[in-house]
Amino acid sequence: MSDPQAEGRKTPDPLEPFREMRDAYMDVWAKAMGGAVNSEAYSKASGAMLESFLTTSAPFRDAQKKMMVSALEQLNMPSRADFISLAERLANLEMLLDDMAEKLNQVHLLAVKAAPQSAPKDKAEVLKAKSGSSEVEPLTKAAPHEASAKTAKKRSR
Amino acid sequence: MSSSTESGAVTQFTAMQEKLQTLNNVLTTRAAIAQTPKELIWTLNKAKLYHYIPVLPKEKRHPVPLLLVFALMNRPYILDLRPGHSFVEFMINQGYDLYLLDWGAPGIEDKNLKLDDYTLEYMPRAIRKLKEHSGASEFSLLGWCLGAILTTIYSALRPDDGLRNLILLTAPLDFSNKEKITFGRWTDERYFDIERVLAAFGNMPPEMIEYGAKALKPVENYVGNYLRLWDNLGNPQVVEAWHAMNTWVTDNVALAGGVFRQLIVDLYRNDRLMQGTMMIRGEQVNLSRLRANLLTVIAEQDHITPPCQSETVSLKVGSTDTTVIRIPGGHIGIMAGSGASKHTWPQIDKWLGSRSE
Repeated sequence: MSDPQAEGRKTPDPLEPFREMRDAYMDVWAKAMGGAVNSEAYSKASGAMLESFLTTSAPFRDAQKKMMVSALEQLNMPSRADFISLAERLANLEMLLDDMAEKLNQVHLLAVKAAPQSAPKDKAEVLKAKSGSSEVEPLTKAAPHEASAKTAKKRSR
Repeated sequence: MSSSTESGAVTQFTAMQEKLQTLNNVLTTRAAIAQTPKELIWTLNKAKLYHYIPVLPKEKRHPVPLLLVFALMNRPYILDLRPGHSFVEFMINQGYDLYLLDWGAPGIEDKNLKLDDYTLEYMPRAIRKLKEHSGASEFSLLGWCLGAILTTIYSALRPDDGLRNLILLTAPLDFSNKEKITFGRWTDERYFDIERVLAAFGNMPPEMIEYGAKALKPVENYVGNYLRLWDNLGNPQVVEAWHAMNTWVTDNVALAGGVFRQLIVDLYRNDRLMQGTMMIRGEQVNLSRLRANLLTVIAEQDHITPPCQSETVSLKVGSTDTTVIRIPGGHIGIMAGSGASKHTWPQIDKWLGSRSE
């Protein structure tokens, strides 16, 4: 008996006709469904479903919310609203710090630029040599970078 | 029963067992994704700015850095999906100084964040840090999907920040063609009460976003996708690619309520960006102020952002250098599909490389 693989022929797959049939059916189904979800009727139906979900779940959600707030109050624990308020304040603080770091950086740049004029000649030369050119290294260039990289490493652990 | 029939049955059984094991593994574990080395250089709230570690010496790199800005409701690691098939890896090898702005996952405390915050608080700060870190005064931006909306608004509002090149990938900017935009139909004010949804959830839940994206092509996403995996369980390459993509597809994040409201009301319903009536922190977004070199990449079979949503932006901007590239493929496929490394990425590199010197 000859080996079909040895002759370079593909082994016939008995399921192939079923697979082809399935794919053809899927194509037709996909087209039909594509048309259906793109219709006005689908939009209306999905909107109605969402609406009924929101309507029926709202009383339970509200009751649960009130119950949780009162339970947390009884336990002297902060509520979700307290955490939200705290998180918002932290985000604002972060922005202020970011702006302050930038302003400090600008002040530092200005100070270093002004330094060679008033400083003794040798010190000015040292600064120039350190910066490598007329442009000077910003104050926050290396430090926060390293710090945040370390934080990232810690977090990944 | 003969012994050859028995051994055939055992082989079949073993093969089936292996298939089921692979299937279980793929469906219940996360693929190793986003492997390109990077360093964190800035954070603000949930947003993080990463710098990818360059592989070429400075003299061989393009002097203009590139910042990648992805959508708010998906993870950005689709840009760095898996080693050997990563846009990030490709661009680093082409000599780009690459940065990624990861928006993170908004919590309930971020429900009031709007496009205003992302474009005028987060982006300028991240770009300031990028400039400081790279030492460059000019930069390029690549915005994909919702990230393209953010980068477009930012570029129009801050045209003097040093933006040299802007790349928009499958950018949903023009919402005038109501017939072709299915999301627009679903979120029509007659059927979708956005205030009730946001009052109930605060942010737009990731499950709803995932359902919305998948329901556009329900048969392909809920059935065809899994059949394709089943048919190819014996092919490790297909399984690996499927696993990585499935990891990304099922890892959505919530969309801040304020952004979702603007997206639906200002964009899907009223097309304010193209009409020139969009207001961000009291400033009118005038696209003619956008002067950066512009590349628009359109996916021809995109069902999430149909081509009509990206075609007209180049006519509205003030840029003198505009290019439109059309690539066969879908919304994600053109950047993360098997043909991306042959078709999309080299075209982006060719366009950007000559403009990054």
